[in-house]
Amino acid sequence: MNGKKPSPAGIVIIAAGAVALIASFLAFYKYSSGGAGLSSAQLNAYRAAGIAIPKGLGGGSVSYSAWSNSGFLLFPLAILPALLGLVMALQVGLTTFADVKLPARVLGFDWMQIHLVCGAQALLLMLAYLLVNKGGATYGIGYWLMFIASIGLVVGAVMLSREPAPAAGTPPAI
Amino acid sequence: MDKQKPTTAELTIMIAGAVMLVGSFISFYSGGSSSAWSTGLFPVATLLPLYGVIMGGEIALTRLAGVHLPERIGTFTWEQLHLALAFFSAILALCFLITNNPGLGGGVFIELLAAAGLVYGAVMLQKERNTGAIG
Repeated sequence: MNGKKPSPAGIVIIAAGAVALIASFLAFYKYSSGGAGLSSAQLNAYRAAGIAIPKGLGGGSVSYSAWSNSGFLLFPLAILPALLGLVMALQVGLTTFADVKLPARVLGFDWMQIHLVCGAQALLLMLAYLLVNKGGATYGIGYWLMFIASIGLVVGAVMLSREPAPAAGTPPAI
Repeated sequence: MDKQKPTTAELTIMIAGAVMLVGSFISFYSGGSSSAWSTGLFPVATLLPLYGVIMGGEIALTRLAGVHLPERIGTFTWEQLHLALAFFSAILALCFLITNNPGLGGGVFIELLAAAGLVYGAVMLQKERNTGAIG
């Protein structure tokens, strides 16, 4: 720890990245039916075709996190927003608290651009999940927290790009 | 209108973008219709052809139709946007390949191949235009 404080944009990015990562382990989708009589492959075929799983073919409620390999269209697609948030938060955290010197540019992108691109991609994916046919499922708390966190990532990235450049000789806030 | 012959990188991006669009209409998985436009995959999988069309469309508009687009979109140059879109299209295509599914269809392999083409084209574009980002 070096006593440096993150900028407001850095705080937003760290918080949103942490929320996205934690939420990815909570319920992303909840299914109120499915199971008995249908194999996992059959259930996935129903969901791929956008057909609601008929009631009575399963029993009880099942929830899947973004890391679940059983639910359709989840791992590894649904964890991408969390991973992008993690990359963003790590970059801010490492440069602020641990004084790690990262390259100023990566493949021609400066870090503000990388934050913008990662934030936008995370939000786009969560918006796409908002519109996708879930085949009878409902969104769990994990999805909604990830959705809010992805908005936070974009807001943080935009705030970061609007922060004034540090004065000469002053180490950057992030 | 200022039409120019497309370079190798630009041709690669246009072809890969077109292949990605065509592949998006082919089923990704077995067990029912599951193209990028089918309910169940739309609009998550539709991001793939969207990225391909943006990349191929930008090249086609500027090189073949002679349309003048702004040099930058926000703080991004078009070369940077090509690289970012190609990178994410490759990541997404890989995710569709390894996600839990009822059996792989031809569409997902076409998308993967097209994404590889987009990445190759975007990297080549950086070199052709001497952006200094790669090599």
